[in-house]
Amino acid sequence: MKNLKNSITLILMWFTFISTAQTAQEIIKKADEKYRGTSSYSEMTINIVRPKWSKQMKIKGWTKGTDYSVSVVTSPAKEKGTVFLMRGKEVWNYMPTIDRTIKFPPSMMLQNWMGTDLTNDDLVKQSSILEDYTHKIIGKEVKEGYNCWVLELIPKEDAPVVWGKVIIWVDQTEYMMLQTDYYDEDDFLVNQMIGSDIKEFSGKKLPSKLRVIPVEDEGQETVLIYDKLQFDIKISDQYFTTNYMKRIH
Amino acid sequence: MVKELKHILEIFVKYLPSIRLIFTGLILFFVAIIQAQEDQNWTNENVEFSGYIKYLNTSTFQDFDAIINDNLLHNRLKLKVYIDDHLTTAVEIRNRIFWGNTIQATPDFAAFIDADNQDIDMSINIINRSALLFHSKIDRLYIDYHKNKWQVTLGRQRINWGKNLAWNPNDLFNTYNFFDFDYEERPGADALRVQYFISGNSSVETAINYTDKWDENTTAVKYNFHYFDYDFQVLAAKYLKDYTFGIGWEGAIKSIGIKGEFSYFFPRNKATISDDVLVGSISFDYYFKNGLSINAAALFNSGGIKNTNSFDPEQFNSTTLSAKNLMPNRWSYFFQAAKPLTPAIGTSISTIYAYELNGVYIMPQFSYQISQNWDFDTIAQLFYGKQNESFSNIQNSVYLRFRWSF
Repeated sequence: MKNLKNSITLILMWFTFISTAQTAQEIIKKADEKYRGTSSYSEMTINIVRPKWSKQMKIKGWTKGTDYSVSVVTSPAKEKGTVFLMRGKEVWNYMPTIDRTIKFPPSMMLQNWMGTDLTNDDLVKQSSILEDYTHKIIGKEVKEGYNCWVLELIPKEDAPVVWGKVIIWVDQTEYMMLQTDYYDEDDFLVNQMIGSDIKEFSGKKLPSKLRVIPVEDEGQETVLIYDKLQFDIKISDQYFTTNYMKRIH
Repeated sequence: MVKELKHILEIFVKYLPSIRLIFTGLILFFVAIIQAQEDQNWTNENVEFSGYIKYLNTSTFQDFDAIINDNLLHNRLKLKVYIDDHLTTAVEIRNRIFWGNTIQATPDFAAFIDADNQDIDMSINIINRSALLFHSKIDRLYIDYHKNKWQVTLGRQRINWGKNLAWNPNDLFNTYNFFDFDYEERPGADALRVQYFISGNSSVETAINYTDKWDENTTAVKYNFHYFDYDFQVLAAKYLKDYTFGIGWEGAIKSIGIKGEFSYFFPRNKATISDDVLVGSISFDYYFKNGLSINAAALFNSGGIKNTNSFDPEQFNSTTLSAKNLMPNRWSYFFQAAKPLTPAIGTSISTIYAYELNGVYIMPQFSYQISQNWDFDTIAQLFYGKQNESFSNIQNSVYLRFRWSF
């Protein structure tokens, strides 16, 4: 009788434990979903910073689900009206000066996007941080005044991933990804993405400023600032078609 | 009185250049649209005004004993108004001021620059003196109506049907001359274009080019579809004095991009002795992780010349360039490598080898983005060929270009 009571207590304790503590995978899932929403509209300023040179770009973007996104450059004047359409793993680029739409070949995905420190692949997110990696909690740290889990992501075999390891800091209350460190296959830190200036967008708390830093190149970074970010808005499906690209403005 | 009025009216109609009427009407139209909108926000969202000013200095020489130097101040004004969700209108004007050695040495320079590719005259020589020419041309002027699955565009417009970078046998309306690097927008075609979107990735379209003579007209139908990660197009056309069928695609084999365009031309009038002509081009492109990109292409023109005794660079710059005659010879090869060194500095080298002409063309380019809206380029065009049994340098041009965009 006493044994049975102990067993029940143990079972109950076990249930309580698994319902409060989350696995690394669940944390990543929540953090990932936070960015996605069902649809979004954003206005963004991008600063490309080099030791003796800098450039500012402005873009507007629309996304729907995880597979569809379209963005248009609104500044500087020379690139204004350039449109990028992503449908699944395919990317098209419309250039208004020559009135032509070009489909990106797959090899182009690892090139830098418009001179920034982001690759075309970063924009399309061919790889999924949820499905292409195994996840593990490796510690706890404070970032931007938030208590964070430190998670280690190791790519699964055959996953379309160029990194050897990814470390992500996710805060414990809002599930914001506050920092991501990308390591190459030789375990050298290559890129850092640091979030700051946390703001509320459509009821979601998110960093409004993201710094992408190629660690080996001193004085070099790309700073992305969300001037506007709205989630769960109504966007027509035709926005995400090659036929509609020329009309995006 | 009535007679005098009639006389004045006749003079008015006869001498007022049609371009001024178009200009005035257009400006009034745009002003009316903008005025009608009291909301400043509307104007910000729906009226786009942009353009650039470029200065191009050209030095042409075979050796350093004689250098021909030319200047071109080049302005482009672009105005686009999204009138409502369905209606868009646009006008683009190209203003150019030429001065230098070539204009002084060429008696018909103004006529050459003013030679319009379209029958509706929308260009004017504002100043035409022996040492300076100010030429202005409207190369876009259209109204576009888009509703549900239909899009209708009427007026001077760019109809770009090309897929490849260098050679476009499918581009029936505005053939691209790779050597004319300073006119990336290309001239427009006066046309009516109707597109019907079957789905997001497939459409059918037809375009009719307005011309005075039927032999100069192009009327074409094109069907676009997406199949197995490839974008395809098939087209049929009455093209000038021929009929043509064409196919084009873009896609990838593994990670190498592959694009192709083929057009088959046969004369409309069976009595003529001209032969059927097949023009085809296939290109491959690959982008390396470090930013380097390469593009290689081959062009076949079955109507091209098979042999020639001496090479003339003018054969490259031919003004009679058409989709049927992209290069004057049968087999041509193109290779380009481009690499941005920093976000501000770009380099590239393009080369064309015309097999039967024994001609080689090399174009290195260096571009520097000085600041947000300022660009500087240095471009060279070097021609080599076989003349008098020896292969040698024939002509060189070096271009310096500044550009301010707004």
